[in-house]
Amino acid sequence: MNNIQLYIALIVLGWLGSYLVEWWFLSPLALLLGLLINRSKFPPFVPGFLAGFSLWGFMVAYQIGCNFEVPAIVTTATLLNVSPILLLIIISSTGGLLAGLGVSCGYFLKRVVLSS
Amino acid sequence: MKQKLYFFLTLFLSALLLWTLQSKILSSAPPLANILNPFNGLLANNQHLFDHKNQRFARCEMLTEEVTILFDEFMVPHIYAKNMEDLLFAQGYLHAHLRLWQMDIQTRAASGRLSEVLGESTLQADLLTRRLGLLEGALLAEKKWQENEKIYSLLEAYSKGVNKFIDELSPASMPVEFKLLNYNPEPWTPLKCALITKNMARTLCLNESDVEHSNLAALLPDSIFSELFNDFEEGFSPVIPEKTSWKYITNDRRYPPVQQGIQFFGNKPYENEPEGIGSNNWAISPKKSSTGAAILCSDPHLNLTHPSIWFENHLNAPDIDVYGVSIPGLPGVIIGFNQSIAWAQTNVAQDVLDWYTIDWEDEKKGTYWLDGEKTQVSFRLDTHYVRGAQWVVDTVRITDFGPIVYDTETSNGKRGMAMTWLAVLEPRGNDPKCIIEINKARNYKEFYEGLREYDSPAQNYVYADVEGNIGMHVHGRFPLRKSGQGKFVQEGNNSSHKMNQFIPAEHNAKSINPVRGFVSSANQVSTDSSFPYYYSGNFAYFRGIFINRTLEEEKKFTVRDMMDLQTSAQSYFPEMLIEIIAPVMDTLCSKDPSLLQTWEQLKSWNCVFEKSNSVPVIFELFWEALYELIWDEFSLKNLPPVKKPSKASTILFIKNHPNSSYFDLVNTEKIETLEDILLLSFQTAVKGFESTSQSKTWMEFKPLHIEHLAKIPAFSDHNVPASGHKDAPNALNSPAGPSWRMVVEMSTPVKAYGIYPGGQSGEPFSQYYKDRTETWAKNEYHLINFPCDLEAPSFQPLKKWVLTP
Repeated sequence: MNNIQLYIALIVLGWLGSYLVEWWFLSPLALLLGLLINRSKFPPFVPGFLAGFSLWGFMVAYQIGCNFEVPAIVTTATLLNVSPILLLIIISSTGGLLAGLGVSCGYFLKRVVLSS
Repeated sequence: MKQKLYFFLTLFLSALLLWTLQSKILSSAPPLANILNPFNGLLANNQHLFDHKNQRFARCEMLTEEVTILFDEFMVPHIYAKNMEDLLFAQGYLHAHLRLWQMDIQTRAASGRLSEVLGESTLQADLLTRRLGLLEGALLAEKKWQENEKIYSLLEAYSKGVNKFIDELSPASMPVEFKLLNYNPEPWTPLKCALITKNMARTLCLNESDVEHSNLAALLPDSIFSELFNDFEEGFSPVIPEKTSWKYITNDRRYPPVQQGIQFFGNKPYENEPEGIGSNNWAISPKKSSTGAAILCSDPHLNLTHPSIWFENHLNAPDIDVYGVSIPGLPGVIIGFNQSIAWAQTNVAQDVLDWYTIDWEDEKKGTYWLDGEKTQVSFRLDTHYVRGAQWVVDTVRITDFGPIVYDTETSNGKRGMAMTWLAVLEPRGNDPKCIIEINKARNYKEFYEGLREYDSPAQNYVYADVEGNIGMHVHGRFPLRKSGQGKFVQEGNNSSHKMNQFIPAEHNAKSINPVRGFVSSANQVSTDSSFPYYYSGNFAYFRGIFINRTLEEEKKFTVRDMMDLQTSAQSYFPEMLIEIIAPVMDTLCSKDPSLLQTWEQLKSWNCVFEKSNSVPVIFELFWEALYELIWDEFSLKNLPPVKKPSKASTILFIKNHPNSSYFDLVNTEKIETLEDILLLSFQTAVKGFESTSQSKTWMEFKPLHIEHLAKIPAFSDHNVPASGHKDAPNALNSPAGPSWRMVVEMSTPVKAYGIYPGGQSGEPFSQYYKDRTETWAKNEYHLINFPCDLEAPSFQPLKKWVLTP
């Protein structure tokens, strides 16, 4: 599995999984997919992070799109005393960290197993 | 080796991240994942709202027949069912759908269970709530309701509707507050409906001043105490018109006055509700109405919160077609109208809570003296689970007079303070039956049959119908008292002091179709002093006089006139004061040109507390300074708790005793006169106003905030621009104010207008969360869609839901 395949698989399966199971499903899923990486131009954390970032970012955009009259991101940002853009970045980065660390974990697990 | 290190490092960081997101790092904050994850965190509530599709079909096994719900442009549901059970099932379902957290937290507050979800910070409040006996009161009420199987089955149907919605909830669709506070709703039961009624009783009839009155009675000469704390103040305008005949009360139960001992009492463990909790209602007969139809008006003044205490709905089934506001958590309509009658309530404000001193036999506090004999207390163990902490067990001693709520150090030694509160005693009537029967009533007779079931908290029920009848009932259960009883702390060593007899419901004061052509109430004293039964209370004064004076005008009132009166920010309070002090102030200010100009401004002011006017600010500063200076005796540090006289008593005291020694300031050597403190107060007010760079206008000086029930700033409305004053008909006194305004013209068909601040949805992310606040603040009304002609092209529902069995 290369970076692009990983990215797409994480987004699609991550979206389905988080809906059907729970948000934290992204972490074990990323670990599992990390085991399948064969080729990567970058450290495995990078494609994982980008996929998680995009997935949670897209999801925030979708939730905002569901109710334009009272943008929940604005109310939530006011609740947390941060700007809506910063909140968007925080949320997306949390998804990125979950996926990036998960993929890295899987990738290094595979290397450990192979080397032994 | 390096790979192993990387693996364990990333594994550790992943686990750490997951733990951080799932855990409550700060005890006061929810797990971060509840806020941040976009799948079922806070933002997911947006999608949940989107899911409320315009067309929705849901299957509800508990229904016997199909129910149709149409939401109008204000998100008001019009519920059409084919029987009462299905109707109330749907109402419960909708109340939960739009207000579940509000319902949950209010029942937790009433049952002393807040600390189960909020932690140690609310433990003391919970302990007090349980000692006051709200939970026991709710259990007794539920037991009484069970005696009527038909009514109880309706409560069960309502509960099933609430539970149907709870069952449908997913982690993503859980109301925001549950996510923030990190807990799940409990199943609803009829007991929770009873708890909602007790929560309302706590707001409306817990106020009393027995301790403060007792302390004052020991401090003041009898004549001064009687004058300052007289329920029938000079110039008062009672709810039931003066000179009403009480001939229908055949048994005169006047008793000799209660004698008071001289002793002082310490502080109570809670404070009374702040001023501002009160309401207006009135009805004019056809002869005073420009359209020839009676008009009924209602504006209950309660705490203004998001979500609102009220929920607007229309209920329709074969023998019921009623519109009005409900309290989420209770079936039926509380204030409203149908095609034949309209009704509304204000609080009676009579004192229905008595304190008794208990003389313990010894320090073990297991026995006390009653009628000269040792009497055993019984014990009740109240257990409280405190979130994140432990179980707390509170041992409550129960006497013949009720629970010992606290121990106090009196001048006669340490004594227990037992409480009898009518609102938590076994009820005489069945409140849900009253609600349902009034909702269905088609004439006065049926209305009164329903009203007779009403128990507590006592309310002034105004009535009007399409036949042109109007009426006012001071209704509820009232203790049968000796003269003076209940105004002071009583000795708990004499069983004849017990509150165990009540005024028969048919003897309650009422006025039907009075000659003057209107009935009105504004929390003022219920009757004149000729009423055969003794009562006391915490009564308002100015609003009632202003409203009655307006309604007495020789003119035909329009609906617009009624709206203008309801939203009037003009008050009789400054008018009365300025009129009395004007001669003295004219002389005093004439010597100082800098004061004269401000005084002239105040004198020519129209007494309207208009939001952008600065004169009300000067008046308020003046009054605050004057009141403090007159009653500086009562602000001394070493005094036991006392209650200062009301505004009206103070103004009447100025009028009737201009040379009183009470005008002397206790902390100065000079002997001050009324003139001295008037001048000093006015100078203080003028200086205070000039030195303030902000708060120059009334709305800046007394800002109105409509806060979220959990006081979350992001979900609240701050600085709502509105005119009003607690002593004006538009009784704004943040956080309290007109929580629902309704004007109903009893023509055929009925024509009605209404508005409340906030919105139908309790979901802060909904466009219907606070969409009405601006309209309300502008004193505008919505034309109510009732009677609802489903075929009319003008009626275009926003959404249609169908619930099928």
